[in-house]
Amino acid sequence: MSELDPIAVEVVTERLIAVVREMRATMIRAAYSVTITEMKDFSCALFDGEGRLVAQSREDLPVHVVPMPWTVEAILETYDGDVHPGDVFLMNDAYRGGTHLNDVTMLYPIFEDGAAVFFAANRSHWDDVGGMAPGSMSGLATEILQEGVRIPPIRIHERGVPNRAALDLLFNNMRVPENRKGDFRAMLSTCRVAERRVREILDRHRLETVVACVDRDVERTESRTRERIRALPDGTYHAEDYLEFYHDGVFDPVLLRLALTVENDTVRIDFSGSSEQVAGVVNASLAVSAAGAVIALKAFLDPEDPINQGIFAPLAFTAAPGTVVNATPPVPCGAHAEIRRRTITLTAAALAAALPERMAGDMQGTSNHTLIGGVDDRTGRNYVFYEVPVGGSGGFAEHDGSSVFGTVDWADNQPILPVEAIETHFPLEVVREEIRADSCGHGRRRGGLGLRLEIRSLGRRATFSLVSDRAIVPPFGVLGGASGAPNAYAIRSGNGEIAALATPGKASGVPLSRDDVVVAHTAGGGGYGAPREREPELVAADVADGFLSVAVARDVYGVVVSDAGDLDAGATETLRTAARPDWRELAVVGEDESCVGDLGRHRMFRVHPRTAAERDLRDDDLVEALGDVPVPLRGWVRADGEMPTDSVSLDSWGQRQLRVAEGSPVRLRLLRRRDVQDPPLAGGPPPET
Amino acid sequence: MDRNSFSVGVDVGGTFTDVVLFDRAERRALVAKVPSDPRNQSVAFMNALAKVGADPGKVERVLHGTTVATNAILEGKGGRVALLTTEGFRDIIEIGRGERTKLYDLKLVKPPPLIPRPDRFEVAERTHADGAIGRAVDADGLRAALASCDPASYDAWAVCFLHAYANPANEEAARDTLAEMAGGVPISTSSSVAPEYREYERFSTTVLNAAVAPAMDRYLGSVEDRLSDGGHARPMLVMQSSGGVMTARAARRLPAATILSGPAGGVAGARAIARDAGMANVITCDMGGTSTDVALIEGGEIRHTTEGRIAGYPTRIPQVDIVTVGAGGGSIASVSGETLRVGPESAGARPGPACYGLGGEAPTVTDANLLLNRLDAGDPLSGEITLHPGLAEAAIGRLKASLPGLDTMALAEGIVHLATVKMAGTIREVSVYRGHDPRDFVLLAYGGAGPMFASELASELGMTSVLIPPHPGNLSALGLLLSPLKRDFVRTMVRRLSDMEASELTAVHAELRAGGVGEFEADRLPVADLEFERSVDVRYVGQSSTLNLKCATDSPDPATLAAEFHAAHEAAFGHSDADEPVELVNARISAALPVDPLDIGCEAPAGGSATPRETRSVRFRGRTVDCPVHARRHLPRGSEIRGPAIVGETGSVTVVWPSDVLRVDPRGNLRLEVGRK
Repeated sequence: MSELDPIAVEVVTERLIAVVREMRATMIRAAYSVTITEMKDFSCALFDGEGRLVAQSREDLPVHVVPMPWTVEAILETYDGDVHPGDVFLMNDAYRGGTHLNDVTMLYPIFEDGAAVFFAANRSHWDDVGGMAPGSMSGLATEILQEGVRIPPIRIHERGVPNRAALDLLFNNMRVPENRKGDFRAMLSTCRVAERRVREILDRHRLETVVACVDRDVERTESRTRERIRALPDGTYHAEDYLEFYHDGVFDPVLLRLALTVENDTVRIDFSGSSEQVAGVVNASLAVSAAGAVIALKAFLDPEDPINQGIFAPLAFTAAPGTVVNATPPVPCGAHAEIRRRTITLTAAALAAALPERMAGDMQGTSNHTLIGGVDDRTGRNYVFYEVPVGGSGGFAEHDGSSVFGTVDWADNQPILPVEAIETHFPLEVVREEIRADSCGHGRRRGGLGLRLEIRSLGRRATFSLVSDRAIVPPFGVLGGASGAPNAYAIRSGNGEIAALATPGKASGVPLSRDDVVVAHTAGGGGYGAPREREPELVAADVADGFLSVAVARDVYGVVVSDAGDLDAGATETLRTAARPDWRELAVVGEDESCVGDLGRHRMFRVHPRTAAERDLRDDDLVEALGDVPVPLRGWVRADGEMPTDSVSLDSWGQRQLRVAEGSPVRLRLLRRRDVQDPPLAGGPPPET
Repeated sequence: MDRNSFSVGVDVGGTFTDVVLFDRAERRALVAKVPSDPRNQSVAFMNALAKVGADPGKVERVLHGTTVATNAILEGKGGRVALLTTEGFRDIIEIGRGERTKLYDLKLVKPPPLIPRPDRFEVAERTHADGAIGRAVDADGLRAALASCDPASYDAWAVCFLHAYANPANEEAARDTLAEMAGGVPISTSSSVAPEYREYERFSTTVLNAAVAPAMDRYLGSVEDRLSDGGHARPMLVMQSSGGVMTARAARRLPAATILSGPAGGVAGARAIARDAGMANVITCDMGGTSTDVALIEGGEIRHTTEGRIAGYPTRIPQVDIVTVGAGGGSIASVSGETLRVGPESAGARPGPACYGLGGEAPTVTDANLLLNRLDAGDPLSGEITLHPGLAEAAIGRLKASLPGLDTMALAEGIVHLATVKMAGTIREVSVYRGHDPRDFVLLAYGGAGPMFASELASELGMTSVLIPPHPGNLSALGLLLSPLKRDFVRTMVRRLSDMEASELTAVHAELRAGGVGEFEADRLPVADLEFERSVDVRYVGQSSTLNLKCATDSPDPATLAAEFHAAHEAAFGHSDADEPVELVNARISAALPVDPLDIGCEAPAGGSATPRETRSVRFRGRTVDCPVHARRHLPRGSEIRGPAIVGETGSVTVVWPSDVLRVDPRGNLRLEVGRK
């Protein structure tokens, strides 16, 4: 049997994947921090001598692995021709292929015949990398220096000798350095395991054979990807969404735009029209923005296999430097996960126009990075508690979304920490952890429900920080499905008073006194299809489970159910027949530009004041417009006497995204109404506690 | 037959029920198979006894491996269970840990909750991480909390409170009140089923235990009735997932401990055989039609874990550390794009591989082995299933169109090779999880398909030594006879070793030991012969995973334990730090009544030379060679065969590769010295 037959390719590919699996097993056993061992917030991968991604396991997180090629490129560019046996590289630079500063990447060359033929890579979330608040992630940071130590590509071991100066400098600028050191050593262990195993593979196969197999594996991934793209209708698909940013305490959302062009067997993704970068956390590198798009494309086109470099070849990305999707110094990059989630759903939303049956309602759109830190009075030591409470996944044609479930860019990492681990390791008490009723995006197939988590701080003093999103603009439903409830955090003081965050979704170092409770409500997934098309029996079952209230069953689903969940079929029939749609149909009037903003940008839907009054629309109402595609377009209402009656303004981007023309109808649906005392745009009730 | 000289082991599998009758006086094992009856395992059980002529009244010990609990969970046919839990936490069993089991899938859904929400009840109570009671259970409050239901209307209850592993008082108080309300309905408490920290995993285990308790109770009751009708007066013994047996009485209370009953029997058998053969370090590989179970024996002891999973739900009961790969003889080969895949889909037992001629059309690993002539087309599988090479060839031929440049035989060989590589990846992961290099181990292969793959698998892992036991297709049943009576006890106590006195460990171990003695006394078993094994789970402060350290006495010195931990950590992960504080997490005691070593003997003739019964053309790495075929029962002890060769026996085939050497050891084991492929 000649070496490069299809079997040899499989065997070598499988052996390389096994190397990564073994790295992963080693990390879980050897790491220190709860974030790695319980939450499994780390990933391993193998790159070839040219820096191409050649193997991930079936467990490593896409969020880490997909942006890694950019990271490796940055390191190899820096040390071009200067890589030696025994060298180990380290980096977390968010502008150069990193994600956020907490994700630290180690790259470890493996040599054969004097050349680096493979690189073992490990990206692990370090609980703290310094910065303004414990845990380093800080919702109100305004420059990256507040988010911790930025490590450019550095040689942390040189020809086998650790660079003590650099290590000391790093660890001295991080909280709980003993955990950081332990995790660093564990990362090193995984790379050494990889080196041993790769060497065994090279004992069995000649290097040229291995290289040829890797080439073949990458090529076939590329050709498979191209084949799937070719099956899509050529054309350009548009999608826009927001990230939540506060400017001097004022809500000033930033705009993310994506135009996806399918041309023959290639996909071009153009982020032009996205906001300029801002002095807030909602910026990310192109590695992160593009990774989101790749994850969505993979999910739509080729979900079966682990990823390798081949998927990237047919794809091209465009983003102007200095925008929120391609950040340059000195802006913070803490909300990388939020940008990635948004580019995932923007890409999915664009593809949904071509493949509506593959689409699901939106996910929660954030990692809800929740951090509590301080001094543990029992030990006198610093602690950093970090959790990423998840919400519901979106409903889809075949099934409801799942409640409290990892998002599509995650893997076997466990975002829900055991209560008993939290209470053992930290001066915290979990008061409640339950499914958040009525939080799903309602629909024929409803989204999954969010979580209601309450954590009491037991120490004398602590601080709370949060990087979240989708706290104002909720996860969208598709094909008429409703939005999921937004993420909502509040602090309940020891005397029972509840304070919502002044800047929903974002907090930095909020002081906690003894017995203060952090109340986290995570978002529900978006619904799929109209709620009134849901089978009444399923609605009744949700009421019986306490997942839906009787009122929501009646008002949203048009289903009459008793408290116990007994269905009244007759009354339901009557109610559903009499029901009026919850949207307002208006005719499109074109305009040059619908978006305004201070540092950010957001879309305004202008309507005539009389039309607004007739249709119960008020200034600053957050609404969504439904057109001829599965995904809605979001914006805020502005009454404008210049507008013709019974119509709504929509610029050319909006028309292209919704696939509607001047004069054709769109439907507006109210998402959120501002109370009088709320700041502009950011209204809405505090969490229901 | 004479009383007290016979033991019988019955292991129920998906397709067959295996039985072994061992005559201690004659040192003779009688092995047989009868078809399983999934609807009523007790019928197959009694048929099996009849088949080997075992008279219940004259058998000293009846040992049993059962899949009643496993099947009830896998098929979702457990009883209707209600949950009583800490206020604010009734959704823990639905929330889980939020992980995804598949990458890049927008439409992935979670497994459904084990108990629907209306059947989950809450009570105001609180135990803290250190075991302190923050709020005791108030009996009146509990009655009020359950006012909306009829507790006696459920098949079982699970009582699961936070931190109950650290102090079971609240759970026990609630159980007592609940017992008054629920009549005779069985109640499982998390502190008795799985007293370890991490609430989701503990609650899940407890609920699973409660769910299968009614079915297990009925089943064991019916078998014991039939046995006692036949004159058998002693308690029947049931195999646990841990590789020890327990009395049927204990199994009725802790049915979740039998989830791996069958596979654990095999590993227990493998351990006894390895010990007998003088092998301390062994990787066991039990390969059947749909999956392969791999476990580790180190220093003569089975590696255990408490981290199990069934049907997507975690379990936390001591079990043999078995990792299952979805690859077996029935694994289906397919081509997607230009990529050849093997598994994870399986043709199962029905319709099975294409060559079974039972309607299966998909090409499987077994079809590939048949084409390569490693399986004998003329020899029905287990004497039951006739093989059709034409169907295998057609099935594999259909794949060829998508993979130009390969002939059918090369493809068949590729399928077997790829299945082997995938299995090897899992074995390597299993061993590295424990810090071991597979090359320091012997591969002990059994199950119907294990011996066929053993040599190639060993090569893939760099292992040089393989052992195939007698009756490799029946090792699970045989293992029942070779297993100790055993119970495991654990107490979580998170404490820094530097803050501990040796006396604290002594006290906990004494408490656990007393509990163990009590359990055996309740079963009217001879406690004087009990052997205790103590161990502790230890880690660096801040770490989450632990390493298990054996303790030679009840009172290990904390400083010595710390030193042992640093060394063990260094060995496992290549680093340690003597300056870092170390903490205790769990104290464990395992109490066992050892069994006498059995010389199970074998049919191998005592002397003579090995004469092949025929010669067949078999393909190895692209070359087709004339290969002698031997019948195992005619291979004399002490004989030696140089590969290539095929050794056939009922229920299994051993493939000896061209550079391998096979020897038959004095016990009748086949020992392969594996050469380079």
